[in-house]
Amino acid sequence: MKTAITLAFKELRDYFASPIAYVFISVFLCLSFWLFFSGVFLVGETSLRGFFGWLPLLFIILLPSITMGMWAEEKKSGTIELLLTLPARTGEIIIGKYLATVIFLTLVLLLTLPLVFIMEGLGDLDSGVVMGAYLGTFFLALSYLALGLFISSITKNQIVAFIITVLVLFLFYVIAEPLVTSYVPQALIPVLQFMSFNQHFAALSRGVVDTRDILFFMSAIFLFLYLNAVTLSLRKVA
Amino acid sequence: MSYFYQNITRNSVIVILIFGIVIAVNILSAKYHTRWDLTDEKEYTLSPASLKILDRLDDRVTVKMYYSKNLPAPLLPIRDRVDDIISEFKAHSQTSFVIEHIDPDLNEDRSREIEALGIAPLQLNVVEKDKQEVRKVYMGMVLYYQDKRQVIPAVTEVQNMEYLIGLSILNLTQKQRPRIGVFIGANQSKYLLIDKIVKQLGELVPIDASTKNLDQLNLNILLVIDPVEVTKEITNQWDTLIEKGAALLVFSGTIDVQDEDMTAFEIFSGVEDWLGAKGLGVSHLLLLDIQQNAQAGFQAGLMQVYMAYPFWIKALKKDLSDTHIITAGLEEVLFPWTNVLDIMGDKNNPWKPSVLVTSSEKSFLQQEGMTGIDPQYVDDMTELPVFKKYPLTAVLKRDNKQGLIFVTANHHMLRDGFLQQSQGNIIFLSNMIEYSSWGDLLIDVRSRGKTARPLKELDPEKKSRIKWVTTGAVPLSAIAAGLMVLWILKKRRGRRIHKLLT
Repeated sequence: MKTAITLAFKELRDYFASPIAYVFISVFLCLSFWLFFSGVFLVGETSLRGFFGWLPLLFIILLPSITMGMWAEEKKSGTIELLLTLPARTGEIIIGKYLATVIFLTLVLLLTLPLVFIMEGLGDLDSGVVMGAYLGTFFLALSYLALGLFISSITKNQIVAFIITVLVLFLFYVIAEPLVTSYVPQALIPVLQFMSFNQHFAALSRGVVDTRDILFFMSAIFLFLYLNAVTLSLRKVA
Repeated sequence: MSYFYQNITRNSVIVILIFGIVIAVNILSAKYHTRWDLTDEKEYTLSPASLKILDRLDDRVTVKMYYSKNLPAPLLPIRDRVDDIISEFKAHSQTSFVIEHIDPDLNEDRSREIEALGIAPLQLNVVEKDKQEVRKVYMGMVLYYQDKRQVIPAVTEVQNMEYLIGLSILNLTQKQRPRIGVFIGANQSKYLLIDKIVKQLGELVPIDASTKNLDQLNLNILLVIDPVEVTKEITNQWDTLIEKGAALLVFSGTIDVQDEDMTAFEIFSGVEDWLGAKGLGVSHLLLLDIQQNAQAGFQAGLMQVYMAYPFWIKALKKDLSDTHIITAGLEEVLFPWTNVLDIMGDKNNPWKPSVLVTSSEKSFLQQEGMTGIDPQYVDDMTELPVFKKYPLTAVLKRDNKQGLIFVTANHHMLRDGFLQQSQGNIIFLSNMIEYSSWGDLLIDVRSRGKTARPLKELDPEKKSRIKWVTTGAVPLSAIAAGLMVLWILKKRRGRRIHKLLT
């Protein structure tokens, strides 16, 4: 675990030493705040629903930019061989990289807290709903990051990794929407709804924490990180 | 087989196994799960009121749920949520609570049988495989208790589900549903929704000016809306009803506005003396509020213009009594073209008033002699208004005696257009009826989480400032921090290179 933490902080240092982190943070905050404020005074309700409602879509476009280079860039520059021969287990290396993205995301989410304080000052905000929504957002983003990391591990071009991640995330986004469900047999619809990240996120952001939703997100994170480990171990063998 | 291919095969088997285990764990979790409701008002947990209703049950309740199997995808989460609520009722019930899922589309006979129970099919527009079709689906339920049944014909909204089930159980376990008389004096065609609301809460008994012997109708509640030229004979009958323990809900203003042509004229309701004897009066002027009001649409040439209309007063949480169960859970009630109550404060009067709703401290009455209702009314005023809080609704009670009177100095608020516009008005009326029928048993369930949490009233300039400062300040700070870090790193790197070279 110590190796994973060391690696995570090394990744974070690299990330903050380049302009990408700051561009990401500013674009994300600017877009999400602007989208939220364009509707909140019209609705006239003390709620952050408008803000959290946009996050799944914004994350689809923005989070792949964090994960796209995680493995692809290592492969392209040839440093992956060096990384995989370090005296550390593959799992530790994956956890290290994943932890770095998670810490970065947590920081980004913390920067959205001024919005909560502003809305609290403008009316009676339901703190339980806000907590549930943050928890949902956190788990949703963690799943997106795990998926992005896995996709980055199967290609050595970070642009390809970005595009595939966006497409797959978008697929998971629309999987339970009428756009898809109107074309599949009725019996499949509950399965698709269960697989939809959005449905579980929506349930949490109502302010209800259900073990089923948490378990779903944890399963998704575990599966994608595991697939990531399989891809790397195959590479090691090859 | 090479080591590489052996590895692929082994990994594939492990991946499939892990997928299987994860799926199995998720399926199991659907059966054994726990929920934590974090919402302030515990909106997704059975309320103490529902638990109290369940405690009263002394026999089995059977809930038959009729959901079509071909429900469109957007309705499936509603079905699941309703299942969750019903399961919670079952989990908290001391007696047996049986849930049966019945396929309503099994055959023609089944469908006919269900429709005979009162569950009508919903006709939904469904787009599937590039085709639009009208689909007939059932989404209803029937609750059985002893030899009685209650039908919930359509379950299309989750929010009021707990309330509807609680009300159904209450109705099943009561010997008789409350009898609610409805007397609409004028403009009957503008109060069509009232019947629907009342029928849900009890047995509707239509009353008009010619109805004799009110006291023989066994009414529990009499709802009086927009009364005009009520005679002494009628108010005497009301008094007899009150003496027998009934509740009277009076919605009466002294100015009537026809919203089609925006004309306002004074009306003689006939209840003035009757109310006066109980220590209440109704003003002859309308109330205005330049801050706490609703938007109204006005025709300006070919365009419809929406603007803040000072004659549509909003009473917010701070203006609603938090000590009375009727208003305690509400967030907002709309009072369009409202008069105000005049509380005489005669200590010798046996009827003691308590105010349920007031206007804001920034409200004021029309100027004497200026009876217009234009949106620009305030600009035309020649005298400075006197700002103060005015009582809009009060309840009258007597010590140690039965009978209640709720008086609201406004009748417009119950017209169809305003009930559709403001959910708070429906809840306000329903709470009054429920309180008069069941006490405070169901009000908790109805009010929580149903009305919006309004934002503070802000002027457009302040709104704009909040919007742009927040949208700009946080991202700009991130950019500034980033530039500073990058500058420090660059400087450090430069120093290191300089050190190496020298």
